[in-house]
Amino acid sequence: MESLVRLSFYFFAAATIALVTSAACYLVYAVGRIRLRHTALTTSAGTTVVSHGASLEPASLGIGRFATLLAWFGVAFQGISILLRTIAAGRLPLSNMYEFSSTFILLAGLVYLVFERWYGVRQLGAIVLPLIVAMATYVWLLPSDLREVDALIPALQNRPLMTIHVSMAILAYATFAVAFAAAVLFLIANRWRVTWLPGPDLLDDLAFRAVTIGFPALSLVLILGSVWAYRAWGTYWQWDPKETSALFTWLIYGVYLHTRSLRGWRGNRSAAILLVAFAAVVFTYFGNYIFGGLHAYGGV
Amino acid sequence: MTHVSLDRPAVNPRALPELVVDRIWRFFCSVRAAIAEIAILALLVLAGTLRGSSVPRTIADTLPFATPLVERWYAWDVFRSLPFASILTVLAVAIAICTINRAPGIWQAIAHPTVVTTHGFLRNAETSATFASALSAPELASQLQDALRAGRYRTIGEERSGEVHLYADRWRYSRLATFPFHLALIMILAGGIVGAAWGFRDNDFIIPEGSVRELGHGTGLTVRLDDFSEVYREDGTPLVYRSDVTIMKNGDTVNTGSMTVNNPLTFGDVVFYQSGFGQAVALKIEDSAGEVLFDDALPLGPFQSKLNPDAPAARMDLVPAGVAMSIVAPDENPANAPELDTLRLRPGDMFFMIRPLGADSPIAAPIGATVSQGESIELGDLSLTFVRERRFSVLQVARNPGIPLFIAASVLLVGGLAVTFYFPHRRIRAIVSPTPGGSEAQLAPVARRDWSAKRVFEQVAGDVGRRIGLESHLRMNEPSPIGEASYRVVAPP
Amino acid sequence: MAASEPVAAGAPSVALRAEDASRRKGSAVLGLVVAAAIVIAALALGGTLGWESIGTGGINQKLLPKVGDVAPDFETEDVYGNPVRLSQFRGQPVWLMFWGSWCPPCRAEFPDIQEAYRQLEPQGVRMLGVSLRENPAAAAAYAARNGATFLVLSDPDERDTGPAYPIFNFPTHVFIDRDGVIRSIVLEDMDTAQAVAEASRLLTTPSEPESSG
Repeated sequence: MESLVRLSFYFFAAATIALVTSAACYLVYAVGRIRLRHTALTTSAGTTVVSHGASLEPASLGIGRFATLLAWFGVAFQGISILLRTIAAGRLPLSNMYEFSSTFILLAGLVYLVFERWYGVRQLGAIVLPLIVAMATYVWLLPSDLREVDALIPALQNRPLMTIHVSMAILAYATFAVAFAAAVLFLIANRWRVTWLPGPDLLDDLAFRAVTIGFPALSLVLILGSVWAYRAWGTYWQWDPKETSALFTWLIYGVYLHTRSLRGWRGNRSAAILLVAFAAVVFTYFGNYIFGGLHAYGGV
Repeated sequence: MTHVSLDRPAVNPRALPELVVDRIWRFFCSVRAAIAEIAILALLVLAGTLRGSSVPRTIADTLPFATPLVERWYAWDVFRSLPFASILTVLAVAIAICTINRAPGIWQAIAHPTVVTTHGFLRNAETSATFASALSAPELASQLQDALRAGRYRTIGEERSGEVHLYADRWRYSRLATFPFHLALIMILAGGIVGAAWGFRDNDFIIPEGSVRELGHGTGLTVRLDDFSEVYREDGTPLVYRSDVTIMKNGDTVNTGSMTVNNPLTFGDVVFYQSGFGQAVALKIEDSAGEVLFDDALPLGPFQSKLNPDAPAARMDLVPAGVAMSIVAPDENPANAPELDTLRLRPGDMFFMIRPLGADSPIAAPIGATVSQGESIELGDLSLTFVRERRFSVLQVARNPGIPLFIAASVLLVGGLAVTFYFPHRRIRAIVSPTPGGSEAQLAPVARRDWSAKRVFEQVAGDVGRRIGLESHLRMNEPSPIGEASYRVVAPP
Repeated sequence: MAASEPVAAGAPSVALRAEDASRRKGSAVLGLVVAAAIVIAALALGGTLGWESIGTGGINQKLLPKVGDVAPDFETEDVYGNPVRLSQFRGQPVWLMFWGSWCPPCRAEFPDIQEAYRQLEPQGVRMLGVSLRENPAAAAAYAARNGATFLVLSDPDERDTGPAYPIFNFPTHVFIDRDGVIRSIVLEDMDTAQAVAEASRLLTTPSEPESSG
């Protein structure tokens, strides 16, 4: 068992390396090649003036393909890491911030790669992968005793409910990260009209699609959390800060969906709502640092 | 996708009450108002959430002038406040009225969609497909309808001045899914109200081991705690907290069972939850006549004694004896603030003190004594026996008749969302017009600014072409610039 | 999770796939090389950032001896300072309790424990109550006031018993059979009936381990 925990950590290190490299490749691919121009002009007075300029050109497809390959490696290594830890612990690793964030890295990578295939768009990786790398950095910075597999305290000993409740939360956060990336790229593509970026309406649609997965998932998180609260405390809603911040997030995505379907909002305004909504997601995710409350066993 | 018109009311001058009712109805119908209400609710939820965090403190520390405001923020229990309840009520009414208001339009779009379209709509569509055929217009139209039906589209045709207008759609009933979803939201709120009005909840139902307590709340139940166990792992982390209880009604045992955290015990519609535990003391108190005043266990904890503020302590009033009794246990951690400990009790001893209670108390001044486990002592007129130390368990007990509503609502909510998102109503409009060589059909989806719907349409157009043996010519218009203004979703005439 | 109606593979996606297929062989070789490079790099990264040090905590922590093991021996003193060895009771069933008079659950179970021992003693069970983290006088005084008849040992700083029996729960009960094999470990406070039931298994069951955890 000890060696499984250790091996799982080792594969997390491998996933980190793959994801960092992948993020770099995606960035190079999305930004494009920067071409510097030096033009020497001789003026009528006989002096030479050198003008410098830079222009962007699309990057080679090869680097994009390489980025995707590395992202798949990252996801595969992270998947092995989670699998080994699952075997060692006898349950899915979802019970402290190390485990929760490791699973987030896996799901965010996987959700992103699925969307990349669905839409045939690679440039989004330049935003999603750095987000995943930031999360991996956070995991590395966590106290190292969280890397150990701990036994569950009585309040968390409800396997099926905990597994679905928490993994749905991670799925929701992962899809919201993809929606956020699409909104950011939309704002960039819409503002500067970079020719090799995907079209704004594609990005707008991609963000919406991601939310159509994340929003029901978040609804399930709230519902299953309520069912669990009822099993454990006899009331399905406690106004606990973690609950209410998830509710806040849910309401913001609700506004996004209603403005979109009933008032036909698209584009900048929808993208702006998605940015606010993702800020709420981040707040909910890391809320344990500033709230006490019933979710305070996250091991932060 | 029909837009609710917000135009001025009809020109006829109307009576004032009618106008007021109309205004209110319009307010609740308005999508814009509904979105504003959700936004206000979100802000209140945010304010309430942050109140439970360190954020207000940080604001007060960085901006000292905001301190009074922050204090008021801390004092304001947002989720039990009137504004919060009001916005929930307004939102619930708005959801109901908004949804009812949309019903006729939605039913119209499902049952009697507009079939006739315009060449302008097809020309300006962001994507469209054209088929040229040697057949006559009605024949081509009928082939198109068959091909679309084979792709599980419903089709309706209408002839108009020699041309055939076609309407095809798929998953039209998914438009109805908005009703269960919004009904679910109202049901959840209703469940909360039902639970609060007809249920009860006792957060601190404390029973010492071996003692019997009355539950109350009109249940007629009494509960005896037979055993409390806290089981640990060898590294000291808790494994299980368990209470074994006997539930009695009118002195008869009606149920026995145990509960652990996450595994409550249900009896009828009353649910018992393991919540906490602590230290108790079993006592027997008799008066001078030998009458037993108290023979039970008393939980230690919530009361603080001045004699040693950080030790477990308890207090009770013995009204028939005219005294109040306080009990102090040994300090659990003697190293912590030893200067406050005036008693310095040994383990296994307890300090008992009686004070005068009421005007005709038999004693004039407090009397106290230290007693060892198993010993008896005279305190004033009373004879007191410190039987033994015990544990107590804290249960939560609740009856919540709102739960079935909540469960039903959850199913409706998730189901409604899934149908809305994963089976979206897809619509295609077409005109088949005669040409010198036969006829030509032009098809376009109702899919403005909807990338997925356009891709789905292109696939469907390809399938249709294969089925009728014609090549489809796809044409795409650059979508108009996005983002500067919202546009209204209006069905074509 | 996938929408029931997957987005039609648009032109870019088709292009990606076609182009992927044409270079599949080159990609496979490159992929293997890259994967190998990552695995080697991870060895270095994981090694420097704690790979070696993890895996022994949490559920993998080894603390008390396991049920089925021979109980590790220790030598400590009774409350009067006389040396006592665990192994000197070999041949008799032993109920070994770790406790402290400062621990409320230990005090709460104390009358029940004493009552259980009163019933078990005539059947040959020997009980040793090792008091930890308090001076011998406090333990002796509490035990005497509450009528303890079992042998009260004292190891205030856990110097003698700690290495073999690191205790994180008070009380901890260890039941050892005549052959010195641990038959059960109870990590909670017990009532009389439970204590008698646990100890009686030392008397009735043949002395062979049920399982070696």
